[in-house]
Order: sequence, then C-alpha cells, then structure tokens
Amino acid sequence: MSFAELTGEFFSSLLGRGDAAQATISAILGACLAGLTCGALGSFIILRRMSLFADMLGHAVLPGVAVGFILAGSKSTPALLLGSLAAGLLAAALTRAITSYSPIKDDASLGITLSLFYAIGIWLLSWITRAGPELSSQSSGLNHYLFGNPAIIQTVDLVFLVSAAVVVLALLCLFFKELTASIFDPSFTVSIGLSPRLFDGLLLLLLTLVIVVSLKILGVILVAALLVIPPATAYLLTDRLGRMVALSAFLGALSGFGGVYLDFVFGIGVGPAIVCLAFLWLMTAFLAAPHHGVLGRYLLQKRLELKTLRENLLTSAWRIGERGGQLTAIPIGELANERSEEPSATRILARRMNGSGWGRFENDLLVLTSAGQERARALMRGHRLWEIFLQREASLAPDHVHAGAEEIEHFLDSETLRELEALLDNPETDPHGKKIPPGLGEGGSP
Amino acid sequence: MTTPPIEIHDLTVSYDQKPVLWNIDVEIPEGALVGIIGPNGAGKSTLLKACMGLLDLSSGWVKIYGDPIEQQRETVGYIPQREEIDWDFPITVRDLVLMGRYGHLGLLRRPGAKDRLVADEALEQVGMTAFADRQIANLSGGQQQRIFLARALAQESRVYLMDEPFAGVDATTEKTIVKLLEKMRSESGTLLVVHHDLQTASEYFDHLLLLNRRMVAFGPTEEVFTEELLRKTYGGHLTVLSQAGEAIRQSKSGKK
Repeated sequence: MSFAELTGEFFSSLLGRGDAAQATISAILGACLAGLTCGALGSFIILRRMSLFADMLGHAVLPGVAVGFILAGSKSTPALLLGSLAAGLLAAALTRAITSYSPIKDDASLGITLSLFYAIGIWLLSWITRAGPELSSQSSGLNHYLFGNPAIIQTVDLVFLVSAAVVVLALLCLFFKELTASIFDPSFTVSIGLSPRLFDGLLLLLLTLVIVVSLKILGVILVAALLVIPPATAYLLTDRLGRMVALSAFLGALSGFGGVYLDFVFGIGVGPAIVCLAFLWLMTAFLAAPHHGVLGRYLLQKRLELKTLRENLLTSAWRIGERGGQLTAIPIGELANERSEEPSATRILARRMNGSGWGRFENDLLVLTSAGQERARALMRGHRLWEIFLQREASLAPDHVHAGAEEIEHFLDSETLRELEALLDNPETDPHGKKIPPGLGEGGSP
Repeated sequence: MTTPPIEIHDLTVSYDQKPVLWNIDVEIPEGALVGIIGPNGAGKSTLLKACMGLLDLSSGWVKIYGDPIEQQRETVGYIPQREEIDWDFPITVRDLVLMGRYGHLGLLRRPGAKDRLVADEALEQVGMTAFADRQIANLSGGQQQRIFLARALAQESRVYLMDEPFAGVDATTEKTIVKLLEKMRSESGTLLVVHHDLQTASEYFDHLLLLNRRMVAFGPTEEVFTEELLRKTYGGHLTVLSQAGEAIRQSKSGKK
C-alpha cells in the first residue's frame, strides 16, 4: 500500500468500531498521555539537572517489573506498577548512598546503579522464561516493557495513565511556585522556611510514577527521551517556566501521536518513532528558535560582517577624500592603494556595496551616495574620538589606539558620539594629528 | 533590656569535620548597618549561612529577636551570592522579585495583586522597572545584584543578611546600592552585609565585624577600624586556626 493509502487507513481506523480501531485509539491515547505527562514533568527535571537521573530510573524499574510478575504470578498491571515503583525508589536510594558515603561523583554513581539494576532485570526476565510452566506460560509480552509497544495498551493501562497525568499535573500546578523557587535558588528557599529536599523528593516520586506508567509505550530504554527532549525543545523556545511546561507537554503529546502514526505507516516501532519525532522538533528549535536559534544568530553575524565590510570601504574612501580627492566617485585603483590590497580584491568588496544605499560599484569606480558620504564622515568621527578617548582615559600610547577604534567605530551611535565629544571637550584633531569631522546628522545604518 | 535582632552564642561551624568558624559570640544591636570583613576563607559567607539555618552547627546557637531562626523566617531576608544562581533559568525579572513574597504567602497560595504591587515598587526603588518583563539572562552584574536587592525589599523584613551585594558591580551601581542599604536600615532595621573591600568598608558601614575564622572584633566602625585590629584580622597569626582545623578533620576522618 502506498503512503497516502496507509495514512488514509490510519485516520479512517480512528473512526471505525472494530477491535483494530480500538487498539489504534488506545495506542494513540496512551502515547499522547505519556508524552503530555513526561513533557510537563520533564521541564522541572531538566532544570533541576536530573536528566541522567531520569534515564537511570527508567532502566532501574525493570527488575521491579520482573519481581512484580513473579510475586503476582501474572501480568497484573497493579502488581507490575508496584514492583517498578519499589525498584525505582530503591535505585534512587542506592545512588544517593554511593555519593553520600564515598568520594564517587554523581555521574559514576548513576552509571553504577543503572547498569546494576538493568542487569538484574534482564537476569530475572530470562529466569522467568526458564522457570516452571505456570510462570513462563504467563510471561509472553513481558519483553514489551523492554522496548515498549502501545499496541498492547489496555483499558486498565489507560486508567493508570490518566490517573498519573491528573496527579502529576495537579501537584505541579499546586506547588508551581515552591518548585520554581527550590530549583532556581535553594539557599533562598531554605531562608523562607521551605525545604528544597522535600521538593526534590516530590520530583523523585512523580518521576518514578511517570516512568512506571509510561513503560508500556516506550520501554525502559527510551522512556527518558520523552522526559528530556520535549522540555529541552521548549527551553529553547521560551524564557518563561509556565510556557515552557505547557509547550513541552504539547510537544510530548504531539510526538506521542506522531509516533503511533509513523509506526502505523512505516512500521518502524512506536518508541523509535516517538524519539525521532521529538528530536525533529528539537532540531527545528535549535536552528530556528527566535532567541537561541543557531540560524538566527548566524544570519545576524553575517549581516554584521557585511555592514563592517561596507563601512571599512567608506572609511577608506573618506581618507582619500581628506587628502584632496573627491568623495563621490573613487577609482578602484586609488581605493586599493589606500587599503594596501590588490585591485581585484577591492573590486570584489566594492561590488558588495551594491544594495546598501551608501553606494555602488560602477565603471570601475566606487560611487557614493550622499547617505554614504554622511556615514563615512560619522564613522571617521567615531573612530577618531574613540582614539582620543583611549589615549586620554585609558592612557594608551598613540600607536596603540588604532586597532581598538577600528572595531568600535561600527558600534558607536550618535548619542554616544555626542557624549564622547562633550567628555573630551570637543577636540579638533585625533592623536595622529588628523582632523575630526564635525557632527551633523551622523548618517546611521541604511 | 531589649532583645537584640541577632544574637550569636558560642557558634562553631564545620565543613566535613573541619571547623571553619570558631566560638563566635556577638549581639548585633537594632538598627545597625554592619559590614562583615575579613580575608578570603575567613568564613564570612559561612557566618551568614549559619545564621540563616542553611548549615548544621557544631555548637552554639543563633537567635533572632530571642527565637530560633525557624520561628522568625519572615523577619529575616537573605541575599545569597550571585554565583549561586543559574542565570539562564526561564524566569523574568518581575517573577524573581515576586519570589520575595513567597514567604508571606505560605504553601499553595499564588501571589495576588498586592504582592505584585509590592514587587513593582521594589523594582522601582532599585531602578529596574524597565527590565521587569525581561528574562534574567543578559543582565549586567550590577543589574543582577539590584534585582536580588529588589527581591529582598519585597520580603519586607526587619533584618537582612546579604552575601557580597557589591561583588561584580560597577561604580554607579555601587553608589545606588549604598544609598539603598542606608534607606533599608532607616526604614526597616538591621543589616548584616558581607563585604570584601577594605577601602570602602569604613565609609559604608556604621558597625564592623572583623572576622578571620574567629571574631576579631565587633563594634562601631570608628572603634574597631584600627590598624592593630585590622592587622590581627588579616595578619598571619590566625592561619594557625586553619592548620588546627585541618588536623582535626584528618584525625576524625581517619586520614593521615
């Protein structure tokens, strides 16, 4: 079947009534709920720098699943959940004990607990399949806890997912200000009579709860992904915690839904699909986020580079004009000479003046508009005033001030220039004896 | 006799078995603007943290108006060092200042209109109103200190303990902060400020607490800001205490 046909079938199955439709709907609900809850809680987790801790907990609940199964003798969901909860808390306690009573640091301690609990989990699972017939006959499907499989989501799982979502969201809302304070500024939090340790404990409990109910969707190995990737994405997109939590919950749910859909169409497995999708949002934010995006910063830097390059041409032109040449159309040869470079190089630069509004490259001449001449004058003024400032106030020698001024001239606005001029008692010449152009309209950026 | 705002009795504090503050005894009088000065590693921040109940005490006690700190949380405002904070945290300047109201609100209650008003007034006082809706990253060192002060103002406390509010601050902000400290003293009460600059200490504070692992002196600035006492504080003799501390730690933890 083609991609479009499969997509059509996916959405029409949502409206159907049969067992298959029911299974798809359960899978979607389950994945969305897990994504929503993990996303919301995960925001606090990554800010508290507990991401690796979450990953450890994800792996560490596996022996709990196995022990719950052995004790209950069946895959009774409450038994498996209780078992995982116990294993998670035990693992947290062990990690804490290792760092408290030895010089071993956090990351090593997490690595130790993670691998130990995971190993015990695998060992118990393989023991179950080899144990007596009454256990092993019941055990098929336990592997789903390793890798996750929303197709096996039943009503009872949904009930647990909904309950966990309600509990987690309610507690996060109720204690929003206390959690914010204790993560952001623990010392201050103690000083107003609250205990950050208490809220760390709350986060730990909620984390274990969320992991345990999300296991069937993502499995022990990938469950941390939903706790880390959507919050990290939201972190790049907003500067407010409330919005971050909401956005992260939304992205988590969206990844959950998309993951089930991609699995239906391409059969790549729900867990991997969810993780890849979540990463796709992260990459998009990484590149295109308004403040923190790499693309935005790159473009800004390029714009600055172009502006600097054009302005440097303008100051070269001004220097030629000062020596008696004219400032409206400067021959490239003369400009190249002033800049001590090959005319071919100057030509390439001069072409980039086109479109600036300051001038253009024409008939091997750099033709400057009146705005360009005005800007050249303002730049030179800034450059020379700054040189005087450096020499007088920072006591630099006259032959040391040029490089600093060369950089700062591009950033001095007219207000700063006037201030600078007043501060220096309206000087007429710079440290090299060159005349300082008087201030008129200052030109500014085109 | 009135109850002093801060009374410290025979206070000893240790990190990892190693005593860093020895037998501090002092009563801070009402309405004093106190500078805590001493060399690096003298235990200045530790003293404040011990007063705030942030550390376990090896011996002694601290009382705020006669009560343990736990019963007087709303009376005391605390400004931690600027470096303790993750300045990338997704929070605005106004929300950080609003945190100063949390102690009054207690559990579960959200800040209301009155709290917002107090926070906005505090921002106004430190001249940071224009930055209210900005995220806290990209503020200069001086601006960061000023919003910390605004949060303290929003606490409306009677006693303030401040850890290096002048660290990383430009000259203009330093003057603003000094004026603000004087105003807080005249309006609310008692201030205890860790300060690292000897040059300005005698000018900013009316009382000084000279500290180098033990308290060298406490009193009105003109009485204790003397060459002899300063030499005692900054001079070499007290390093003996640090060697003794190290020896105690080694014997208690079984290391040689």
